[in-house]
Amino acid sequence: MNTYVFDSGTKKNIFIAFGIGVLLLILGVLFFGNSESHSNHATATHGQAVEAKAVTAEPAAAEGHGHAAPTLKMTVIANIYNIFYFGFYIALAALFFLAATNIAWGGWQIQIQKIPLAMASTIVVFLVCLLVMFLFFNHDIFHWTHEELYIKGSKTFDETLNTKRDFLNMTTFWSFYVIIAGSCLALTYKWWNTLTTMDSNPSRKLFSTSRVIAATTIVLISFVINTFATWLWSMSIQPHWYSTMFTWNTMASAAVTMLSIVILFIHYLKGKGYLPKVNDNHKHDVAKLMFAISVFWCYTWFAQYMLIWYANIPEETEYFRLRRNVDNYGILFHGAFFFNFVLPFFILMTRNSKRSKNVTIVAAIIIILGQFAAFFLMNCPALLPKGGFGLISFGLFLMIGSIFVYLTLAVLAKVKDLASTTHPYVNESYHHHI
Amino acid sequence: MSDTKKYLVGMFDDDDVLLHAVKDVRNAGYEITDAFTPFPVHGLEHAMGLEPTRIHTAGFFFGATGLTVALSMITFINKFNYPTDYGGKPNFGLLAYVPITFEHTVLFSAIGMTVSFYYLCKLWPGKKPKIIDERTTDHLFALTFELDSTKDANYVNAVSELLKKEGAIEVYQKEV
Repeated sequence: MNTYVFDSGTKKNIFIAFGIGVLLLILGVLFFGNSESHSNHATATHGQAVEAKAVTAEPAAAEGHGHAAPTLKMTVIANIYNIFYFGFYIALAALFFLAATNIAWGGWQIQIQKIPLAMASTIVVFLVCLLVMFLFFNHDIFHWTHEELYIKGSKTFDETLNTKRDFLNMTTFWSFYVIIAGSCLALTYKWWNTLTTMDSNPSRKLFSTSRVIAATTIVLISFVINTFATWLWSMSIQPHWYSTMFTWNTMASAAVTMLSIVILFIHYLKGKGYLPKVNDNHKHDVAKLMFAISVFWCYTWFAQYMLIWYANIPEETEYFRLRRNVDNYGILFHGAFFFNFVLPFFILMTRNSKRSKNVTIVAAIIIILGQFAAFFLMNCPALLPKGGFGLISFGLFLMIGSIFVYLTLAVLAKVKDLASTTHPYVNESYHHHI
Repeated sequence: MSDTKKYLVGMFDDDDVLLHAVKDVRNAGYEITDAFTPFPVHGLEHAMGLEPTRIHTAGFFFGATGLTVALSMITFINKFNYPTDYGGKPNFGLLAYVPITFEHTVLFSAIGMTVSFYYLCKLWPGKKPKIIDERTTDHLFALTFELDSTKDANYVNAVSELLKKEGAIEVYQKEV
């Protein structure tokens, strides 16, 4: 039992999850129509508020679009885009996990390293999905792509964005899409190739190669992919605002989500009888990383918030005005803090809870939901300033999430040696004991 | 002197041999008083059947104390004792307290755990160490069995035989 077989029962469950997602989406769309007719009045007053704000020169990215209230189209686009971006980042974090554990001479993760490898392979799909979004909905998502912002002397001229134009322009955007996509694909291909060749034909040379790839992966992810992907694809949704903690925070979010998904996959595969030599010690290590990165996420999240709160510069506080106020995303904003830090911190604190199957599953689900909310709060409030987190978000989350799980398991089924039994460090993994 | 105790000491020169010996001796029903090793031996605490340490629980409570102290003190100073206006920020600005509260939590739990560790190991200043065998600080491993009035010559012989069978390079009695 060293090759995973993607059985029909699992497929059926994934299709059911997908179906529930479609159902939620349809319900969300129907419900959306109802709630909008009630909020017509609010829309009108909101339009005046935009005029008033323009006088005080407070930048509000979404309102600059001319969308006073979130339309159905905008809600769906923002949510889809957010989930594609979320998926891209989870796959990227999986790639980073492979590289980081390999470069640190890690031995314990050898048996489970095919799971992040399969997750990283889905990056291809998410890159294509993001490309489609960029090609067709560029003006809907990115305020700064509108040409009229840069005509000097016109009403719509935006001086702040004009000074940023050296970086924020379509040439940079597409160049970096090509660089990011190219390096992601190359790295994924290299990892896949090295680790699967090591299954059939292990050699010391291949192991050295994998360390070179790991070093390259870390450098590329740190300085190219992660940095520019957050700047261009997420931070520029609200182009007047910027933060140096943002990139860290995004990667921490993605990493802790990735680890939660990995531990769910481990429990699933163990339940099916695969990975016979993975025991509590390996799960303990994954859970330790979940705990640690939850704390790290909270550190960056809080640091970003507190620096802006303390400096109190209007163009920076605008970001949190959109998110923290109770009338739009306040509950979600504070809920994300509880789901991503307080609950995992207390749930995963003791040794016994890190080794318990049920506790880690609960913690993983809490973290995935919390980080989904955190990603929503990064990308969407600028596009949907009046709120838009609801059935549509969860429907799309379930749909794209089940596609992600399906793809991951399909890739995992292609792996000949699920537990990497020929890897030079696999003995260390067998005897891992903490 | 009245506070000295008599021990039966078995010396080993390999940690794997020691680990097996500990398991076998305990299976044979003899109670090991303590083991002395020049470096931490992985799995020895499980083999000895020691209770897991509760020092991290103590650490949690020390940390909670630090959190309470920091929060109450800084609130008292900033809000009641000496309120000052810094850039229009509220006097009770919980966010600004977070870094200091965090530092205090870490400081209290670190110092508290260190002190309780020293207390539990009976390592206070001026303490005169009782060393069973000086070689355990360098290259040898020792298993000790306390010999009180209930342990007769038969017991000593049986344990000595067992230790020698398990690969002890030396077995002797010592009073410290």
